[in-house]
Amino acid sequence: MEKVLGMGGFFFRARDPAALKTWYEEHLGVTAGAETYDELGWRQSGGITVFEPFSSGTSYFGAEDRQWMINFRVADLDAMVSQLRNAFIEVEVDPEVYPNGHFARLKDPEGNPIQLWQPVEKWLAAEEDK
Amino acid sequence: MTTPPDRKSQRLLQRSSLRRRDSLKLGVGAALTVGLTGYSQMRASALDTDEADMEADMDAGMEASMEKVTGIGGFFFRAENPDELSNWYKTNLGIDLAPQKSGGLPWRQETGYTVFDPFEMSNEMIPEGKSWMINFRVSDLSKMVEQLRRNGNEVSDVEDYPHGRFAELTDPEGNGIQLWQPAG
Repeated sequence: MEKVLGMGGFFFRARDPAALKTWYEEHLGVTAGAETYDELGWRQSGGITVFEPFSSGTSYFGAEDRQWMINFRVADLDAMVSQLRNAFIEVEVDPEVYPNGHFARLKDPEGNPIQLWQPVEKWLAAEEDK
Repeated sequence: MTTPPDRKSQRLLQRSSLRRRDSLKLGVGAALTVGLTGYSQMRASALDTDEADMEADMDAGMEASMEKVTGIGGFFFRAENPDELSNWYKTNLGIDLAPQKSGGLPWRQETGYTVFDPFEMSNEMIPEGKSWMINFRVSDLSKMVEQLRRNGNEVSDVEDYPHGRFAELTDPEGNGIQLWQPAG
């Protein structure tokens, strides 16, 4: 069976695309699309991605009018949260440490929900061994 | 076969939505093209000179120490029939179900480029009534398209661009999907 290799792009509607692009680049390091052959866009590291449709009435996204939510993996959640807070971005850290790691939540300037996830190495290793 | 430039220009003039789509596709890696020039200009015009200088200074100073997300660890979206849709993605595109549903491993992405791109509200590439769209990288687009059609899905013709081959479809709930076989 043919399987897709990964997400080569994510596109979403925005009121101010240019400003939002800059925001993702400056605060999360997600660089915008490439402009030359030498300067390709954001390069994702390989890894686990939970791809999941939710029921239409879910409250998980934090706002009823949002159709999607993205989760970004981070290497150091504390450092990322500090960086965001230093830039006066509100971040809600989930105090609970789950078997698969710990999480935080924020919104981009247009209200799109973002989840940050620092996976637990042991959990990842165990999953891969299954 | 690559789309001849004259034909492409004509189409660019005819349909603004297509122009946006071409500039996006070209944004993935191609230079020296009509769409790409538009794309760069769009980006450049978004910043006035002072802001651009400031951004360059910040880039130089922050590059080393800045925290960056390493990848997409999850993508969640509303669906009328979440279970059916999960199965559709599993059966047609090989995306493993969420562990809560399958009890198994989640989907594993390979390392690669991801164009993360906010669009204008009026963009016509994203299906009407939808606010997002995903592009998936594939290793063999012809085989993937064949598999999808065999399963009864309608898929667009494959189009060739300098940096790869593309095809489009929608999932059973009308969410837009683009498939991309990177060049080289």
